Amino acid sequence: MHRTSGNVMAQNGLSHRGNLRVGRVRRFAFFSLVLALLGVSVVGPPAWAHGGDGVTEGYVIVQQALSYLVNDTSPAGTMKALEKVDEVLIAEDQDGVDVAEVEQAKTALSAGDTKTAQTLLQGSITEAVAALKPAVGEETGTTTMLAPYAQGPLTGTDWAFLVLSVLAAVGGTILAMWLRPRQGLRELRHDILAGEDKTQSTPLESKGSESDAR
Amino acid sequence: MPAELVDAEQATATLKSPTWYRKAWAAIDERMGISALAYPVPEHANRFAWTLGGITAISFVLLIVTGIVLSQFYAPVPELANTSVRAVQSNPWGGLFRGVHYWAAQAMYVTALLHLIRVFFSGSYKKPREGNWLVGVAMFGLVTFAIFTGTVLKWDQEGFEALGHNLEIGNLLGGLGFWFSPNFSGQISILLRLYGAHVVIIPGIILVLVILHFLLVKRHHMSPHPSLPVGESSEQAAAAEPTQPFTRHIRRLVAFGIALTGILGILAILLPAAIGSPPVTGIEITRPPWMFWWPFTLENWFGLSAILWGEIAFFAILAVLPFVDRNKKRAWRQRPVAMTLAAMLLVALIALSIIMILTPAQNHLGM
Repeated sequence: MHRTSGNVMAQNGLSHRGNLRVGRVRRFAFFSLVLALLGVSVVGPPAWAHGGDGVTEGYVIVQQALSYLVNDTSPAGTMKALEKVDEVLIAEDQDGVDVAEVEQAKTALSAGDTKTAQTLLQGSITEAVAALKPAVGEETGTTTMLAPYAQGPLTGTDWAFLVLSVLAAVGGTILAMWLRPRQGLRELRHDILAGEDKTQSTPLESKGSESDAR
Repeated sequence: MPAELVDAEQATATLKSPTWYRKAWAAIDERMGISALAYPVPEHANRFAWTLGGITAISFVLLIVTGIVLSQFYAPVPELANTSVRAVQSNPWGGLFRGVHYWAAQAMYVTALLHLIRVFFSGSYKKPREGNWLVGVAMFGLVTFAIFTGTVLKWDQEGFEALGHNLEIGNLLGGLGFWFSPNFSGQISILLRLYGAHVVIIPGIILVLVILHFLLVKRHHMSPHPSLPVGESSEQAAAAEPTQPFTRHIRRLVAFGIALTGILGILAILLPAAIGSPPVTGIEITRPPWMFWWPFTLENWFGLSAILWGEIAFFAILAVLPFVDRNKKRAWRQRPVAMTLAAMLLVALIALSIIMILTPAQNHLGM
């Protein structure tokens, strides 16, 4: 008995020391992680340049004008495109841009002829986009500006898919309703409480197992 | 006819079925352990709110199936990506698969969110299920990231602007954001790396976490319903609650899966997924997908870094919830503090999202 108490005390002492050690290891691990994260943050790669912070290539400014034209067909879109056209005409980097075509596009835009302006603007950067290398990093790789995709009217196949989908939606819903739980929450609660009462009022019978004996 | 009677009839039919059928079933079951799935689960687990996690898993399966098909026709290089998506969309089968993929992603996000809200309302994240709550929160974060990468893959103006924000946020993280730096692997396009993340890394991790999630549900059992009597420990359903085999739960999930596939098919045809114009750097003219509206309102107010802090705060709140909320009660009426705070958070997120709808697109990148 005495030896047992000693063992327990020794075990307690060990577990206390063990807890202290575990605590130290955890603290060490936590501070190491924080230091590592700080280290990576500080020593990591430098900030990179990103689109939007002053685009200077003339052909990109032309593409911006084209993007405004295809995405916003209202007069506001045309105005923004005109601003970009003005920007490209005074840009320092006009490599691969046919300035004469850009000027024609400006005239067309001023007259409200956006279709002709689009064709002219796209044509004005033919040389620049032909010289582009395969896009890497965050380069767009855009050569031709397209309008947002316009979905056509429903085809025969679409209608067939639609009918099948409606059948699946209705059939699945009916099946799910059919397989729904028989009881509502209130009934289920009532059944559980009734079941518990029954269990409590029924004396437990020994099955002759060891646990019953204990 | 009640479903229980059908079960009984099916059991009788199995007994009466030809010997070869029973032998074949026994042989398959012995090797595949299918009947082990018939373990008992509490009756309340078959209610709709408690099947939302399963419906989320069905959406994930639909995403994998349609994603495998789409990956056969998608070109993950900047010069071809947008046109390859247009080619897929112009084909009736391609348009259907892409539409179902797009809407299944929306469905997965919505059902995962509703599942998360249900788990919160029923207090199912409480002891001993805190670990599984964290697994669920991690999966929700990964689903959000999968939607982001999927948006970028169509390589249109919307996707490129989303990528631009992500690159800037990576930049704010300094060295920790190294993976998002286009210079991390400068010889290839970042589109290719995001494609790898979208089709392998993210679904792979989600799959591992789904398995862990299911195993933990099996380990801790289905959490008790807050409106029903609980067991002695209050961590489990009452022993007197009727049970159903888990296979019955799966059967109802299959029914929901058929309905969901039909609904997604209808949406895919009537509201096809959009494809914008090819991307141009240096302009911001689009709005992000709806699940990113609330952090973008914060961006309009406080600058680009607010997206990062907003998302970190949102997921941090979710992650610490089971460790901060020590109230052992599960019924929502008995948890006024948690319910009030959750309602405030929800209202704030909805309000920020509505403000985003009313605000025109603004330029933030590189500012």
